[in-house]
Amino acid sequence: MADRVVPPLDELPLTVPVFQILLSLADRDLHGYALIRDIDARTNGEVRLTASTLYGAVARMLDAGLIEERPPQGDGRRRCYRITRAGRTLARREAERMARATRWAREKRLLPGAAGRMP
Amino acid sequence: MNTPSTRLWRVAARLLPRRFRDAFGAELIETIAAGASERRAAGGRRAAAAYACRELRDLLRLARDLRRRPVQVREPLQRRLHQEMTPMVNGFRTDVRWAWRLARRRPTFTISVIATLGISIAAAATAFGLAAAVLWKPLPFDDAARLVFAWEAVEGDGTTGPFRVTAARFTDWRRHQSSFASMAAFGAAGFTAVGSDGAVMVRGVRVTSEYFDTLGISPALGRTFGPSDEVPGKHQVVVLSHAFWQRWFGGRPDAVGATLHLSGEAYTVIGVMPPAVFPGWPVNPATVTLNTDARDIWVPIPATPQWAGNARSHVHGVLARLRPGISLEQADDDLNRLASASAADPHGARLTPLREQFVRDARLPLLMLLGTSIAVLIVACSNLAALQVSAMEGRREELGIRTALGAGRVRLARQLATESLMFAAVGGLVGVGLARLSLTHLPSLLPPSVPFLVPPSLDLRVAAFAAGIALVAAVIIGAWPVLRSMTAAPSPRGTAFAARTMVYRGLVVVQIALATALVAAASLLAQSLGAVTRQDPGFVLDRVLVADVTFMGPAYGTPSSVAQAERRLAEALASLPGARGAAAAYDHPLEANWTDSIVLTGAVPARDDVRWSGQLRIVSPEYFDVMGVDVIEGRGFSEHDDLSAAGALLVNEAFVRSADTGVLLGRLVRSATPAFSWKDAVPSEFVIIGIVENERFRGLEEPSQPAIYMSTRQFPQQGFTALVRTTGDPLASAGDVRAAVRSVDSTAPVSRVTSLADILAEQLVERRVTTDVIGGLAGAALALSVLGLYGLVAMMVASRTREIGVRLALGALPGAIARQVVGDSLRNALIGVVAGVLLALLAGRLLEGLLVGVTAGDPTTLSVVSFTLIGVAVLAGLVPAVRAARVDPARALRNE
Repeated sequence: MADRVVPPLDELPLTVPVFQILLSLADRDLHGYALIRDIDARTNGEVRLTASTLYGAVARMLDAGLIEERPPQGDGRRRCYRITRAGRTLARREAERMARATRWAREKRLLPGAAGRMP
Repeated sequence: MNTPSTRLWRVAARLLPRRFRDAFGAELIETIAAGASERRAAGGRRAAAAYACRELRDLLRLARDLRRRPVQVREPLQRRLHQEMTPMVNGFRTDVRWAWRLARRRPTFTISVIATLGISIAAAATAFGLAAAVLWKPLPFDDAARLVFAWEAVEGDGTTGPFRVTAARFTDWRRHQSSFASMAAFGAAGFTAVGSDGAVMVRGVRVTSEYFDTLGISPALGRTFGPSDEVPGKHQVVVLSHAFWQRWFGGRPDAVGATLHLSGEAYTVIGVMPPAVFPGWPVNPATVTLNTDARDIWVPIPATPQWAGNARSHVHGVLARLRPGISLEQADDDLNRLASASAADPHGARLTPLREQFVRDARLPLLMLLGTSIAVLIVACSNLAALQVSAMEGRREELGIRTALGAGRVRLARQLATESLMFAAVGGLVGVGLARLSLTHLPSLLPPSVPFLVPPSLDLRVAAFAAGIALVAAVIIGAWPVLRSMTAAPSPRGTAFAARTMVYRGLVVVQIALATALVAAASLLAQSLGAVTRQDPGFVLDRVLVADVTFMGPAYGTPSSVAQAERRLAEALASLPGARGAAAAYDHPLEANWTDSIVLTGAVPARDDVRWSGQLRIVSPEYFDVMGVDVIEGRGFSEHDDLSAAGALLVNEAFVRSADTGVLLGRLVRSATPAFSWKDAVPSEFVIIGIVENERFRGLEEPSQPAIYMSTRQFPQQGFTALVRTTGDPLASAGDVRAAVRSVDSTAPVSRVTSLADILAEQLVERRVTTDVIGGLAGAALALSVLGLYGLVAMMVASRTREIGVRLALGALPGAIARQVVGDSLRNALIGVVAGVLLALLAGRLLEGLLVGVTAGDPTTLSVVSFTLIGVAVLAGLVPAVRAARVDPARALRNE
């Protein structure tokens, strides 16, 4: 399946829903509603995606080849999504970008902690 | 779920673009509904309402966003999967559709598979149809299994006889036997009849009254013969064949009761037979044909004491119907007990079932044809199987994906099996169509000697056979792909390749083995054909016109009248512009068959116990000159050896050898010649005046037999063969010959005009056709197996390109690489050739009966064939070898 990465999604920064979806799919395949609940739980309710936001993002991510569909599992109705190699690479780059931003913020004492060291 | 709220959401979702809605709408609404019920449970109505507002807001945003920046929503995977997987769910019909789609994607492959299968199935089905028509189809007679021919033979001596039956013997059998429900004798009878377009020859059969009952055929009109019709004086009645009735009486029913003049005598028509099949006149016991139109009329044999007492003239065929429950062996014993009880003469009885009688020599070539075409089919199938094996590699990816998408192994296997079945089904249909064509048209191209008891046709049995072999073909072709898909997941390249190569190699070896055996068989047959055509017939065959002439009627009541007419004809023929000489003979040399015996009378007392049998040839004085047969000792016949002179007789070298009784020349013998027609008007004692070279009397395949020659001047024959040696094309003189006959007797019919060369060609055509067809099939097998071998080597080279590249890069010489590739090809060929030679030795036993001048295990043939095949194998390996040697190391490595 396509490893192609199509603009605009390969441009950083990623939107919050796209990044969170990639994070959630990083270690397992999930279907739509499970994604919403996983992100909600993982961020302590900080990121609560509406269904429309989720599926809008999913559509674009599928288009860009960041995720791919899996055949339905279990009850056989809900489609599951799996992260692609491109999606994983992109998520990693976004995380690195954020880490760099965090480091810069620390250097400027915007954040506590030693500069150049990951918390 | 279908609550009021989901219905509202569904309305709202209509704001989304259609494609998006199709892909995600249902899930979106389901997710919203699930979230709403969760909020309601946790935070009550208020929370649910807040949630709904948020969802609605984002839905509107999404709608706007999607309109501004559309997404390329691909068809949902589920639906795509559904399409892909439908064949796996819906069964056979969709399997077929899947195979069809696949077939259309690779048309060349598909067409070549179907064409190969179609042609080879057609060949096998045609061979089967021909064999069935001759060997297995029911004979067109009532309860035909009980019908037998009875011949005379010398007991305990398989080589002497069978002979046609004398009237005395038949009468004896008929009176005393207890094994047969009925028994009838029949013999040829030629008549002339004068019709609207002059005198014609009417081919008749003289029969005893039981003839039609024995065969179990009832008349279409009137009646057949009864015992009263055999009474001398009341015997001038005639039964017409359907064709003769149509031709002569225009099919009028009042033909029954009409009078027909045959050779000047009046016969009353008493019946008309249906257009049925009847046994023809036994020219010799080895050649009885079955024909619908060979005979015009039947007349009864008048049961005179002379006829019933004639123990000399072996002129009758005897047909008998076994009593129910009596076996062939019992009947055989019965007749032979009679023989030993009745006379001191050594002839017993030999019974031949009706089918045996007609099939005879045709069984072996037909079975060989069938075997050969099946062998070619196997070669073709293993070739296609090898093709599939290498195609499987190309499809590894595809099959891998299908498995990944959840296609079960069994499912995949079923699809691959369906694919093979579809090839076989279409190939089978093509094959049946072609077989139908060839079965309709082939019989007319085949020699008339192929004894079709019933015309071959594409009946249920042939169709079932074709279906059966198509199924077997499907199994052979599909076995590997199906087994692979069942037993192994799409595996790493290496292991699959090894297994695949083994299978492919096995298939190629099978092909080469079969091709070797077939080529060997074809070569042996071709050598036999060559040996036969090189045989010396003992006479000069070229440029001899042959015409059957009959002098019959009231004008020929005495031997001298016949002799005179014949002499006048010989003179007229010899003086034709294109003629170098003319002679007469009773039967031309290639089809002569009149056996008789003589008794030496010089010794006192006459040694009645010592008889020598030989072919009786009655020839005119010019015969030896015209035919180029040398008189070795003594002299030939002269015009003075006529009815007024002492009987003169010549024998041939073979006779001298078989008689082995010292000097024969000048000795007096008494002939056992049938004195039936001329009685005392012809001599009964003869002096042996000369010895001549051997001639072959039954074509080139039978050795020269002992022969006794008498002169037509002393033993005139009313029906004889005129032989005219011409300066140019003999058939160009046909008109002149007919005119010459008319100038002697304007009512004398000439029934056949041809040339000796044509008769010989006709005799050889069966062997020639067999040789050609088997040669062609062997060629096809050879071509297919060479293609298979080439494919194998090419595949090996292609899959080892990288390895070869590495070796070349490391300094290997291109020549060494090429040698290795050729060597590999050679190894496969060697295994195949060895197996093929063993096969040829085994199959050779079946072939033996057809071989002349060469044995089935002929070492020269086998080694020439082996080396040829090995040479061809080397050539097949050469192209890939050169390709291997030219591999560019850099590119080979880059490509990987």
